[in-house]
Amino acid sequence: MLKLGEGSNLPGKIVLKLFPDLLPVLVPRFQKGWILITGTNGKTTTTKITVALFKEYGFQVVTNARGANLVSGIITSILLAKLHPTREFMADYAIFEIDEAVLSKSFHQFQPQILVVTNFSRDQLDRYGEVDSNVNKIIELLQKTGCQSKIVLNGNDPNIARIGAVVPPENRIYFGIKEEAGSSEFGLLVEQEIGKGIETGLETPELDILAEEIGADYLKGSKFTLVYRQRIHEAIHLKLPGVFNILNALAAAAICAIEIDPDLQKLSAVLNTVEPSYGRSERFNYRGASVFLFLVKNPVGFNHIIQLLNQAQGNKRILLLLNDLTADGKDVSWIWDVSLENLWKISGIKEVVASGARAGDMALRVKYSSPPAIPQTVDYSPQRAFRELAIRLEPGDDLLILANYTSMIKFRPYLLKVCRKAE
Amino acid sequence: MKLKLAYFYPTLMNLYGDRGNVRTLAERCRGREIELTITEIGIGDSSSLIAYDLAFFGGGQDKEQIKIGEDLMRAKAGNLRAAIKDGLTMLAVCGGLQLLGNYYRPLQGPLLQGISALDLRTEGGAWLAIGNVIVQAELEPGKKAIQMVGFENHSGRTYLGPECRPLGRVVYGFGNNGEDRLEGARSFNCFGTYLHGPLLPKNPDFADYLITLALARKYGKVDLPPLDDHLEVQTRDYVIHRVKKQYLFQKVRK
Repeated sequence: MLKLGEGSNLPGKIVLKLFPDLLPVLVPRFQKGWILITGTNGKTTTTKITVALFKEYGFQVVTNARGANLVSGIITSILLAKLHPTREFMADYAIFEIDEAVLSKSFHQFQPQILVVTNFSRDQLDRYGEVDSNVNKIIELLQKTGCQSKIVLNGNDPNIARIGAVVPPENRIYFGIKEEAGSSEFGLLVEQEIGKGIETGLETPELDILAEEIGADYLKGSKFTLVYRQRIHEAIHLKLPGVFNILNALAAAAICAIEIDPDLQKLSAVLNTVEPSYGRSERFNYRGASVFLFLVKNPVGFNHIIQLLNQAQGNKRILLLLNDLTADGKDVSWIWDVSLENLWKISGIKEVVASGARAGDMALRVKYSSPPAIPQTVDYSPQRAFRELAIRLEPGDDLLILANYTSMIKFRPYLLKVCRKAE
Repeated sequence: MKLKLAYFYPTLMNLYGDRGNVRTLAERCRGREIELTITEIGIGDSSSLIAYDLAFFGGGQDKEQIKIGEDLMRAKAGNLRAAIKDGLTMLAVCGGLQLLGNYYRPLQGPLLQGISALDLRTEGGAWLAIGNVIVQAELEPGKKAIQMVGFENHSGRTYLGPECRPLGRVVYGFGNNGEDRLEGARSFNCFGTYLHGPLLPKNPDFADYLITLALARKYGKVDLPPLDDHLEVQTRDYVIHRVKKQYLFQKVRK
């Protein structure tokens, strides 16, 4: 039996070779239609929250298995879902995250009810190309297909506003954080560097669904007030940490509002209980010490995590994992666009270890980021680096692991083996 | 000792972590107690550049490069050419390299005029040359050649004219145009390259070479005390080894 790793698109690939016209056969088998979620960061978490919400409302839903988000992966997920192949409809909704690189080619086959764009920022230039060209592809796509779908867009992201401009207002909904609320943290939420100093002609659109009065409490999550169509939902507690996750929650809320319940009655309960996705702000317990795993795939994502960690109390030892496989983007220069200098504003860091296939590059980035006088180590083996770090843990020390995509995927099973999963 | 660095279009032409090059120069100067002052040069700035000792010009998105090109022609061309002729030590990466040349002729759309500080032209290519690159560079005649490693990602195909030398020869990778096995460009002390990475952190000898050139122009020949480059050299060698292994594997697979 094939052992499927995280993100596996393989069975779908095989099936597609045998039955190349399978997708048009599968697409109509979902009674209420498709919801597609794309963007640079937040696809997995937004999808997870949306699926939890729809299930809470009693809908039967199919979604990505193990995060596989290419077309072959989507097919794999449906095949694995143990649905009735002979029934007219396999489920109510197909809610899938989809890789931004494959969206334009396959969009017309899905004809989704709803398309969500979480954000766009510089990510794996060698795989995805420039932000501009990605945005343009979606704009072309929407213009070509005549914009039948409803489009959910991040109103805080100026790149996304361009997309909204080509969608009729009745078909689009902007989510976002009310400007005053974010304050200094705001700058890290979108990639603001590119385009500064040149008139882009972009106005930030008015938000249809928004969060304000935000209080973030490190890994305990955040509290905020949500406003939609003049209806105010106060003191929503989101279990997922970080202001960036509030945006993901807002995207999911927007989908729920326009598709199933404008009163969002079940939103609070779901946000209160949703757990982090695979490798995102997860907590483990290693012989009494807390070990945290954070996924950092690109500059904006990494900056978000640094911002989150600003609230982390106590002493910590940091393990940075960096790979350069195809799924990561072979070019690692993105780490120089991370504001790593901000990492050193966090109190209590006792040492930094760089590991993974490009450990040396990461260590160089650390060296040139004006680090404090703490031990900096290079070890190309993540497991050995972890073991040796663990030996040095003192009572009360937390171990923070910041890993990019494949390094996280490869490392997490080992972490599960040697740790207990903590609450 | 003091050096002044002109950092061209730092927010717009900074697509690829290229700011790491400026960081590296700053840190390596600091390690020798050389005070490096960085001045950002933006759109509309047309002041003289002769007083600068170092300059850096990175790459950007296509859309930005058109606007930058216009500003270069309008506000900076004469000053920059004069400074380069005077011996300004400059590093221009990707888009920077192209705009310092004679022109960039894309496959579609109008020709983009360059400032002709480097005798080269760039023609649009149908596909992107993407991947790790190893370059062998003889920085000074008679001096031992160094190997540099970086990452390229460009559709432009650059061809050097008679007044321009290359930065080096391609050992692995595509290089300027995939035909002549040359990488980058050099004229006086102005260096152009397609190598991201960023280039200087893993290639400390080249970073120090740039600093040495800048110091020599200002103070006469200066011997730079060495820094502890054990991590830089180890990382560069590891990546070179990894690139060669992957290249060999690809060759065998074919």
